[in-house]
Amino acid sequence: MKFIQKMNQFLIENYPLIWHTKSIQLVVAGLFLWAISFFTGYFLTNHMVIISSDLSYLYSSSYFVSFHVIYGLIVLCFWAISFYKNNAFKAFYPLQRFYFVRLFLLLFVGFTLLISAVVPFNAGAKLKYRALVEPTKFSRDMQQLNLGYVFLVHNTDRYSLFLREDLAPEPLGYMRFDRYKQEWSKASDGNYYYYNPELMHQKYIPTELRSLAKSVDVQPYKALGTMLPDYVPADTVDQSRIDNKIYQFFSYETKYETADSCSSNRFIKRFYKLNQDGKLHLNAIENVRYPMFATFSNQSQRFFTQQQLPRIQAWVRENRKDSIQNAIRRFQEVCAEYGIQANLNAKLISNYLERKAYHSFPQSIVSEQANGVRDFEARFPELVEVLRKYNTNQPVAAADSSLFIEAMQSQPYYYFDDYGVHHLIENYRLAYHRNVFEFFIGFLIAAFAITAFFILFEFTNIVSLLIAIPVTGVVSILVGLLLIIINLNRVYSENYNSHMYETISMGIVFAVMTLVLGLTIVGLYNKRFNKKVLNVLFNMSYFIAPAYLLSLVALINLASGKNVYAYCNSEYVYALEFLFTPTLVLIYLLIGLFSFFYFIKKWKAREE
Amino acid sequence: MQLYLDKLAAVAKHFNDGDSHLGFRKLVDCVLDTQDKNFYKQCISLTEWKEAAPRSEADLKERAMELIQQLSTAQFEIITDHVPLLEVKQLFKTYARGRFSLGEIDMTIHRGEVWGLVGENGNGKTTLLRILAKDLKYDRGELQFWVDDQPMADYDLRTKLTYIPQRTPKWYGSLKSNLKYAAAHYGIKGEENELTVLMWIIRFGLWNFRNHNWDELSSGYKMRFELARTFLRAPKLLLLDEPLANLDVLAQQLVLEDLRNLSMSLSNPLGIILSSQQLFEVEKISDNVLFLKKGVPTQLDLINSASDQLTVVELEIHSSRELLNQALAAFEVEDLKFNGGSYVISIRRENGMSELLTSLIAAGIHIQYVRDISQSTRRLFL
Repeated sequence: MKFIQKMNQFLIENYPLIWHTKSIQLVVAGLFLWAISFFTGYFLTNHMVIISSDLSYLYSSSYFVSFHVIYGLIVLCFWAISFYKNNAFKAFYPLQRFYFVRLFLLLFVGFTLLISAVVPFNAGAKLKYRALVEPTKFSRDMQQLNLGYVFLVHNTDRYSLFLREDLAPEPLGYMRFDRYKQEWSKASDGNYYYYNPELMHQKYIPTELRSLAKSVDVQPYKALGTMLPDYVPADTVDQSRIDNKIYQFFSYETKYETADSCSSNRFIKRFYKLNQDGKLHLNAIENVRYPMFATFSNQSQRFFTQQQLPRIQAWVRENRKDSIQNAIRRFQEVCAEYGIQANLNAKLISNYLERKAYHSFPQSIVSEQANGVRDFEARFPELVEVLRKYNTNQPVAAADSSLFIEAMQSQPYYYFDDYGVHHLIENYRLAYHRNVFEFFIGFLIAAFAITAFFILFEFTNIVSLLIAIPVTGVVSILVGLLLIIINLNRVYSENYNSHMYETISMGIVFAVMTLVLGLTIVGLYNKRFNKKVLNVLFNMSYFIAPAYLLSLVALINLASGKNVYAYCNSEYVYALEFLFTPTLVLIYLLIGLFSFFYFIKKWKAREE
Repeated sequence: MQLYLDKLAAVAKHFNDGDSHLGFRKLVDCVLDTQDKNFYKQCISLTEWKEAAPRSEADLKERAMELIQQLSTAQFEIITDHVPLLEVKQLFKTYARGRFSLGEIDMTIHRGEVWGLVGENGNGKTTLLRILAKDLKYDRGELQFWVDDQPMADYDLRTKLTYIPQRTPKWYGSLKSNLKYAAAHYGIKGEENELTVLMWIIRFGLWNFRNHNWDELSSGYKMRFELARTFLRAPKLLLLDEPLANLDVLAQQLVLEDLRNLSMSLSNPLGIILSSQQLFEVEKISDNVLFLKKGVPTQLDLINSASDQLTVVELEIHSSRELLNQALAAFEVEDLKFNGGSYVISIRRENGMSELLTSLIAAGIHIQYVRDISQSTRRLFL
């Protein structure tokens, strides 16, 4: 207590502004909160948390956020009571140069600390994650997970012939003919339209190209979009049958219609018949081409393609069940190391894959979560015995074998916590590759608003402020109505120029701001101007001034907009777009507010 | 320095005469005149000793004399040029939608001068003070300040024009911390801040209240606090609106006497304008008195020039009117009025108070109250 008294004594005698703002106490309270926040983040983060939640949201989902709010409000209340006890400005004491700027900066630091507790919280969480997860080992573990995961048939959508570069030297396309209901209809414009009910959009082939495509097999076959239309003349090319479905394979080349066009067409260069005596399957483990768990997609993809995929394909082709089982076991071990739930039976799963010949999986056999899996035994008691036999390599009757496959397909019996791994990876990115100060500028802008709000009461009188608030409201409503009337044309006109209306609207807002600020300055320098009206205008201007420069830049930027045609779109290009980074926005706000501070003394000294 | 030495001699005389309270206050004034930290420390130490326990007059005198002795060696610049601080020329203002007007007013306030501003309620005293404090604008006329060497922006000028309104705003925290805060803003930093604040606390008799807050002070002490805060600012011109309004009779006299003494400070003489209803008390300390009636100023010297042959007396007696008439028979009575409580008698004779009293006593009139108001603005209230 003596130290605090001495400090107060020193400050009041030598630095009255610091004493008045209580900024040291505010900063200390903020740093204390940061320290608590850091340690809370550190200690809340544990093995369970890193696999069950995203560390970015740990702060907002924890009870600490309530503590932060309560603590912040208490500090703010005590601070405000203390701050408004003394007022050198209202007492007409001489003020230091740039008094309000100094006042602002002193409070700004404290408020920034007080509201940004999430930053040290995340830093604490990040530090703890780093202590728990070592990057080299983590990278190895992810490779193990990716290897084992291939055999868990977790999601059948992962298999694609698009990814099979080995099937053709060039980009490979294929069309499946019997997947959707297909209908060609000739439209009034002479083009044939194709309706794809699943994709819910239309594609077309111009009539003349359709006829060309019919005639010669190497003729450019034009198709639009990422998937080719399902029109391939049956009489000109060979079709492939895969898993009892008809496909047409081809290599293609993508060409843009013009150099700056975004409209691309794919030209078929050559058709292929790829049905290799029934060896090619669509949903086959061989067709897996991307790793499931990637910290950095390029790096992981490269390793997977170059190192792991050849091994996987060899194991499958050679039916190396032992290797597959080892991969699955290792997968489970890695999960166990991180505390990720996983209930897998390597032997049973490999048996199942073998019996399905490593392809044509109708659905997942491993669930993403344990819910609904544990009651499997209760729901399918007759299968339990069969599963037990498979598990122990006992002879299983043919009927039981079918039952086993049916059971595996009807409902996953095994599970592992897919989200756990994803959380682990996401948190890895946060801990090792994201800056906790990433969004700090947002807190600075928020602290700016809070500081400006409290400084308002340092100089204004409450009556004027209370009048200014509804007056500002009325002016805002009138401006809003004016903008609505002007913009009504946008709603009812099909051919409106959106950019023009945005510019006009911004211009009106800017003009009103200029008018209020202009009147205020006139009132300040013209002694005949009514002081009560000036007081109201001055309070209004305080809200306008910080945004004024920002509005000016925005208006100039909007006015500079030019319609530019690039690729497939015409878009507006703005000359000053680069001036709208969050940091620059904060600088505009500061310049606006600090400029306004210049007038406060003049306003205060103005006679009634 | 002779002025200063005379002042010290007067202080010593007060102690010798047994007027230790008055002597001590004037001793503090002398210490403040020196603006020397060492003397401040000694004075504070003396006060601490004095207030720590009841002290005998003799002990206090002995220690005070020691300090006086040391003070006599002090060297500082004495300001003797009583330059103008404020000149008001034909100042005029209308307000209340033209229903009331103030002025035209002409006055020049010099350093070391006290101006009394008197008049009934609602006659423009506060308005005039607020105009002089640059708080209210006026319609025409001139207002020229010389409170600083440099021309100043409006806010800076107002930091020099120390205006104490009739109702002083509430303050928070301890009395001392508020004074320290004010002093720090006026550039009094570090040790000097503590010493200066304590000196003014001593000067206005606030020593035992220095750690009190606003709620714990009486109206009189609140006014003293305001004065202490004001004097910390080393004002050139002090504007006081009804400073005596909430004070008891004793406190009124004390405050007025303090103001008079402080206005004549040797190192920082200042101009004071104060408004009050306490006519006689204000007149006692004022160099000039401005009487406002319905916003129109009337200066006493104008009355005097018109009636310099008159002696005007306010009289309360326990005798009949007939007896009074008999007593006044020897005088040429210009006017005799009775307002139910007191008589106001104007006799055509210069300085005739003594003769009038002799005559009244000789007539056997029992006098309850008598005052010569020939030179007083009291006449303007009648």
